[in-house]
Amino acid sequence: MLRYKSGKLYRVLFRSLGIFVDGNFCLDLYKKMLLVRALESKLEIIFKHNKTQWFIYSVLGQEACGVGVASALTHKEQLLMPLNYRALGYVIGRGFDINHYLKEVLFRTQENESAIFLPKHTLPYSLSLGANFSIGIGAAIANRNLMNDKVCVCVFGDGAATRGTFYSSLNLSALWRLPILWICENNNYAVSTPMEKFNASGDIAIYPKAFGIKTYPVNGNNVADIYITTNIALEYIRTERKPAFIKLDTYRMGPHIIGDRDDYRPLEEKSRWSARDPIRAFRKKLLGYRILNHAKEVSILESIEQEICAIDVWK
Amino acid sequence: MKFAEAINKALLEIMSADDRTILLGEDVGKFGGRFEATHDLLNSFGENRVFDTPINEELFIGIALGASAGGLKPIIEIYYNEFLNIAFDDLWRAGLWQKLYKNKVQSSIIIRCVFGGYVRRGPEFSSAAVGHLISIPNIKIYAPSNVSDGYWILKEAIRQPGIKLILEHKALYRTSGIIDTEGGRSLVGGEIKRKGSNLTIVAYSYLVGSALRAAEILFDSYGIDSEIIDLKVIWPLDFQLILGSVRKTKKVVLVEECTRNAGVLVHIENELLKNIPRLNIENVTAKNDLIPFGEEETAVLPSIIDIVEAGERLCVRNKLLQR
Repeated sequence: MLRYKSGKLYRVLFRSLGIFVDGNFCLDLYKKMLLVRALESKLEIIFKHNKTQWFIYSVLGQEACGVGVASALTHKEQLLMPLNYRALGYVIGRGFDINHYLKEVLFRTQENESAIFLPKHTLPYSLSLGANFSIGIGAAIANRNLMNDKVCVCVFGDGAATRGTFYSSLNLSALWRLPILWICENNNYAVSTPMEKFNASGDIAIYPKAFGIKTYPVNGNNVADIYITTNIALEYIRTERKPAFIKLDTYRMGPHIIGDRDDYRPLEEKSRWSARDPIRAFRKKLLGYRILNHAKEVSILESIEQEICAIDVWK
Repeated sequence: MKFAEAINKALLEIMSADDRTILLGEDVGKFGGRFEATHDLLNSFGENRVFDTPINEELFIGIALGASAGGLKPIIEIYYNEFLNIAFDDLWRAGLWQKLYKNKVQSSIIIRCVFGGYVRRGPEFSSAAVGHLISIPNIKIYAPSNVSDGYWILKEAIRQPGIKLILEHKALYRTSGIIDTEGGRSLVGGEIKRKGSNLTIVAYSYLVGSALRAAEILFDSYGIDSEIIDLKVIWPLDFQLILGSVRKTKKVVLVEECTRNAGVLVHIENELLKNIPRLNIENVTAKNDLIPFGEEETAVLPSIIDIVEAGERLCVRNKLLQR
């Protein structure tokens, strides 16, 4: 384990993919993931009381993807994804105003009935799955032509990746060397249909490779790996002026929508993936590196509790 | 000047004036467009602004939406209007977004595509149906009827915000004319092409020419002095202009290239009947059938004779019956 002195504080480094990540930053990632999970369980209660205007798409088990990717983004990256579709990780990871998000996405009030949540550095998105690919291509053309060094980060799932627009957009991005980072959250299910029933190849990463796009398959339950790979891919896009593709293998531990009948998956598979819970795995690692200890954990949990209580939409 | 040359001139001027405009479509680059409207633009503006695309109509409007969100002004060329149906999903979305994102997203998108028959392209590529397009929220549909309008409408459309669809008639690409130096002035809604007092004829696109010819025949043979309204903007309709003319003439012929239920003039008919009950209306539309291959297409598509007969029915036969 490496330690180095920074000011008066001893900071601990965390090793992932052979690269060292700042220990305090890892704590931040951990806290964000916990916040996603806590917020979702809170939203679940509110949803079951029928007080939201929109469904809650469960991110349980996929927190690492959103937090890992979004934490790597700066003002130079434009996020493109349906921000009310399994996006809590991205919203919190990117540091958007949670109050504002919940107000506009879940509790649409009369005055902003038709308005859609669109914070800075995000692109207008469609809720229709598979419609965002072409929007990403267009935005990337704009970024390339205006030479503003921005990269469009387009996030989608394995279900959306079976739309025809996916293949044609991959083709165009490679053909025109557009600055796009494709991120596929591969949770192996399109609502209830398993991968082997909707995708003959069984591996989404085959398609970008076929178009000559640099592809990074990553364990989607390892937040540090995701964070580092996103940074590496963004660096690749900026230096090589080519698109890149990240495939995050993960699993949705919750139902598709909260309140759904979640009986289509084998229990054995569920328990296997539960053992690979991204938060628990990351906590174990942080404890092992002695970045996290009991006192720090308590303070993190307290601050999360405070943050959730501070959200005024349910007051 | 040919119609394609007028479009080409307008595109050249638009793209030279604003370097945020990009042109995107199939074969628009080196080939110069399937109707030669984008001739030489690739040489003038380079590959960063003129994009030859694969056959990906399903992406075109989405690309335009993304590009305009990023600050560009895309001009999309879709070969036939039938292929617009492939892009309908995104077109619908583009219409919704004009209100959904309110002022957060400014989009200025021009979609050009050719439509219509009279050039013997058979049943699949001769459609002039527009009724499904007006269901798209917040869309503005232009239909030039001559060379000069083709030029001015494009120049006008780039100044307007929102989603603008320009339907260029296939048969117009075989016509030539000169660009009217003051043609840009009369681009709000429709235009009265011919003044008259006995009969109003409403038409758009290629059939305006047929209507003008029919008006001459009506005047020469029956002394019927008809007023012709060219709907340059077919949606949203400039209803006041039509109503003003019809209040004067009391008789109206609505001329449209598609079948009655696939067009827009049925909306004019409804509105007119609401305002002037028991108005005499004649419809000249395509027959409800497939458009055949070759010369036979004239059996289905409306002709000059059809318009003359409709005018005659309204002005002469009805009068005889009343006696």
